[in-house]
Amino acid sequence: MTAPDDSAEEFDRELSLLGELSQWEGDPFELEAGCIESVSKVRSLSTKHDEAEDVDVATDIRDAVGDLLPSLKIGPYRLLGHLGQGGMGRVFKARHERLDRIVALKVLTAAKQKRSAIKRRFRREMKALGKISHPNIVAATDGGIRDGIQFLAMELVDGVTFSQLLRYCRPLAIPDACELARQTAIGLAAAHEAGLIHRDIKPSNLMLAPDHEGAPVVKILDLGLASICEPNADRDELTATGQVIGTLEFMSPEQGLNSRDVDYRADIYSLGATLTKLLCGRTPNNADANRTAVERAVALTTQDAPSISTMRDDLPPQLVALIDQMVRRLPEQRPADLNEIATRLQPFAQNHQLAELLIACPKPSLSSTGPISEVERIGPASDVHPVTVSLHRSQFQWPDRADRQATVGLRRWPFILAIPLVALLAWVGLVGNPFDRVDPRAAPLSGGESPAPTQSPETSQEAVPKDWTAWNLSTNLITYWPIDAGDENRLADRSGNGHDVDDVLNGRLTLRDAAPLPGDRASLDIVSTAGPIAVNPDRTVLDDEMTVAFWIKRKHFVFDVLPILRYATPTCVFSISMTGNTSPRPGEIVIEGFSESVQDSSPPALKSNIDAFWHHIAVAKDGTELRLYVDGRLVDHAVFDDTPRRDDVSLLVGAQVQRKRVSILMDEFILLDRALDVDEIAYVTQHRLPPKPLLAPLSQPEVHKIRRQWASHLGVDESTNNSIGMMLCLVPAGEFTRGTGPDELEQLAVQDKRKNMRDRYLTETPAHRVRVPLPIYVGAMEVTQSQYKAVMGENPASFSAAGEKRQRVDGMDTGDYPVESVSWFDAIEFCNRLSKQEGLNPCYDIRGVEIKVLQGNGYRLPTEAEWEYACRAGTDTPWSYGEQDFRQSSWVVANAQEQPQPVAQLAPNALGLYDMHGNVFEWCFDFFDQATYTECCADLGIDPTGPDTGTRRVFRGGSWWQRRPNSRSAFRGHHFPHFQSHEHGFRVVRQIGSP
Amino acid sequence: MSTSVNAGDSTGSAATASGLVGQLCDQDPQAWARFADLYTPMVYRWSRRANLQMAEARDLTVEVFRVVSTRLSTFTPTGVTGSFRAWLWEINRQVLRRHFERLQTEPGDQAESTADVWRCNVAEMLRCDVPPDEEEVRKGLVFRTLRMIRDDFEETTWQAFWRTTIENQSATDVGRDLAMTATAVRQAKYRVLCRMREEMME
Repeated sequence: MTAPDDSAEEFDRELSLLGELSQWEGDPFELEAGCIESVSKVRSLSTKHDEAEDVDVATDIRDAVGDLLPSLKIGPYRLLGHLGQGGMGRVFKARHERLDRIVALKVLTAAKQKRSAIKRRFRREMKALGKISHPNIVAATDGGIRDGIQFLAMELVDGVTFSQLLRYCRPLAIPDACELARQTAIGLAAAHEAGLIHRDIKPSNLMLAPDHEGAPVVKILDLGLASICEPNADRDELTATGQVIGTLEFMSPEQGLNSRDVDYRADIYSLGATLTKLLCGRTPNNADANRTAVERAVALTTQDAPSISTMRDDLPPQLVALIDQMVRRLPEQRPADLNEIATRLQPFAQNHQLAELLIACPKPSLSSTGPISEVERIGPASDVHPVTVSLHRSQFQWPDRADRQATVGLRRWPFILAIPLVALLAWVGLVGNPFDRVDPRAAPLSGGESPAPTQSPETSQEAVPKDWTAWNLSTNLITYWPIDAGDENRLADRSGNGHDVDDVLNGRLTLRDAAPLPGDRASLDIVSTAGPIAVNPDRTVLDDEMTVAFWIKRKHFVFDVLPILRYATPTCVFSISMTGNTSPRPGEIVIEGFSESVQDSSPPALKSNIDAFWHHIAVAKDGTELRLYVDGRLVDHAVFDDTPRRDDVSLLVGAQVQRKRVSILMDEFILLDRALDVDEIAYVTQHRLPPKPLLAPLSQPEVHKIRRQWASHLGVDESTNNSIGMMLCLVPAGEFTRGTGPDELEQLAVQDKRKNMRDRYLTETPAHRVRVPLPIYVGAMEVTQSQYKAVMGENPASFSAAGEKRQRVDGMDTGDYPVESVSWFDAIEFCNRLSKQEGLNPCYDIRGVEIKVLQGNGYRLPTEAEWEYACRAGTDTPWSYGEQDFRQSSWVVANAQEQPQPVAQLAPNALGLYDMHGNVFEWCFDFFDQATYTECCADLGIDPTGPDTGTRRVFRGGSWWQRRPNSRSAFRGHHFPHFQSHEHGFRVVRQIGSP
Repeated sequence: MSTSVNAGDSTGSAATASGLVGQLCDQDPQAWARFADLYTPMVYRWSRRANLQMAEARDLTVEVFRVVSTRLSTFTPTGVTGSFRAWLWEINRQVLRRHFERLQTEPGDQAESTADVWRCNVAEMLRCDVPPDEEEVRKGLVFRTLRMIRDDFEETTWQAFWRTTIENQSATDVGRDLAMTATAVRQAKYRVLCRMREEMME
């Protein structure tokens, strides 16, 4: 294409290209993650180009061109910098040209323009904010639509959010916390008087800032979710989709259940929860650390949260009473009046020291990244996104560690056969380096100064991964060692900080396999009988805070004392050891913190038993506290001595082999210069499940390879037969793009011109990334009539000897035909009975039409996401086979002769699954909601299980009576769960790990 | 880094630049987004063709556009075919070269070996004034343009266009399927082509 200035003749040349497009297969590079990221980065360039993000380049350009970049304008506002991505759009720092006033400008981003729900919410926000003016509420000054861009101008607040305060000082002193809550209450009272409910009160939406006289004042940010309480306002529209608005931790129970009926008392709950967090560092529903967030949320719907006095014992009784009352389960039991709350808080807020705190707490604006870090002041999204919660979620959890331990005997590690020394298993990231790394020279780490303390906390929040390549911890990264693809004999630090491994005396590194390609996993034996590998880091970068994390695997559970890591700062030391006996029993990981100068005093040791399965081990050292995490769970912590000691001890990493018969796989060693918290470590673990997950799109051989690796990793077969002769295929964990992209939609429009179908196809959009986090066994075929009969004792199929369509199959044995004419309820009943038959725990509690999902290890229906993931088998095309090959792969109306066909007659997909496209429709577990995709497309969906409630259940795949478009991987059908038809059958899945 | 492209000619050209470039100079925010959508994959492709890894290619692509954004006003339409593309290539060359030089001066074996790759394979490509993969690149741009304007049309209009133009079916056949007259099909095709031309020429 043509330069914009080109002649008509040039255009004619492009026209001649059009005919060739039909054969054109597309630009392979365009589909790469790198390219997609490039586009989005370039798109955002125009608005932040004048920030000295990369000093080098910026200087260069200025030298060369001598002028600054032209900046963009929206209406009267000139954009000065990008502040952040909020829940409802992007936030810019901007200047009103005529008034010369600096504001925060919230703008709907172009990509989101079409999402009408967001647009409506945005409009609502503009309307709502315009109605109110109060010192404790961030004021809106202007709003409108210019050039099709919607924007809202707000006061730019220069302060710190409560979550930043908490990072700096946790917990807060009683008077400080109470004063923060008191001012918030006053602001909220004003909002409520104006008919506004905030709905999302939480620490990151509340800010402490100096007013024009320097006195600390609380500002309530982001009244964005507020809906208008006036009876005739269109509030139904906002909540009709049933989505849960708000952040779970701070959300009132009634809001979790039904955001439609929420009134102002929800804010009172959230304020109470926020105050609890300020005082205790935890929220009321977090008091019980052994339960998942969702479980706690569910618990709160039936009982009151435990009293705050169980979390902190120095609170005055009146304050305890007030807070407990604010977080009551029933709204009517909460204090009715925010002004009253403010008054009751007043006595406890005497002599607060917020002014000092505000000065002491480092402001993000002081850090070198400038306006970028102002994200936290304005946008909510840099912290925690408003969540759309599926309450089913917790019920689908995979077996806990106890279960895994029970299957220890099955694990085996065929990769490493060598005389066991130390093996490192590394992951050469998808793009060479999985860290979205900035220019290493821009990172402050090598420069000797430690990074500004404020950068760490909120950067980590921003680092919440969107996909594999966007996982970004670079600012805190000291070392990161995958295997270096370029040099197979080196362990090179890919963090950009150059902490390469010293040569090991008498040792050398050899790769077992051929040199790995980027994206490959490779196993590595370090052939060394010498000591551990030593890293001599630039001492100045090692702070008193750090996290060491790595994967550890054991080939056999026979090992002895192995110092994996020894870390020294001028003040203290700790080492990590694996201990165990030469026996197949679980062993122990021991962390010792000690000071060499007082070695005779008994050092505190953290311990945790580990089994022979793989584990993620992390040690966080925070000042004088040492915490041990196993698989993202805090298992032990201790305060340890930090008596000064000499400062010439280096960081030792590796394993010192003291005896033979030891084999450790240490994978992807990471060192960070700050103490990560449990949640953050959980993120790390979540993203590093070995072996490499199936990240679609992938070619068929790659899919096979990954499945093989998973099978050997899990110690299971790639396919297996169960008690009723049903074949099950291993489907590895992975990610895929769910739904239909614009191109496929275009294609569909050509193939199917019916208007109502187009609307139907739209429920498959937008395409979004979904992760299936755990491997499962998926039935290779649809459940057959004979299998169904073996379990249920009957055969309801129409196409059977006794069925309605018996004349079509007269005289034939229909045992291998898929069972059809089964309802969704029949299908889950089948799952439960089959589970029981095989001695497994059922996955469903069935009481009439009330279905509860249990944490069983038996058979169940796939979720919609699992189904599509298995169906696609690594492909991202409309069908998992080639466009023209349908006759070889799927039974649809064109080739099925108007009846179902015996299973597994046609070719399977890359995962060995038959008849995914066609033959009979297959019930999935999920409720149907046409907005499901719209709501979950903003972020990577992890194991989505569909809406919590609904009337219809999803079915997938095509049928013998359907046209080809309806057999696509992305096609979604839905019907009442009682519905039975001769087009509808199902297939089952089972978790891995059960016998 | 030295500029080699029209650096001295920064006056008056913006006024004469039409279409997308003109809009970009006028700081139309949507124009930049369109521009990014259309041209980023092309520049990214160039970097990948220069044997860069994905992450590197991404970083360099962004760098190229950062430079582009500062110099848009210096672009002078020459009336020569593909001159805008050539201009982008020129900037891309500069950025790639500089990346290459930086690698050479950086210590460390890894940088060395990467630098070697550069020397051997890529220098040739960088010496060329004409951007690589001309044909593929043009197809990509046309394709992305079509994708961009797709939503501006009614279903049938688009199909009429697509099937007659891309799939080379006759207007009569297509008309029969879409319940349109052949003339209407041709009109539909013409409308889309006009829009496409507008998009590409503007």
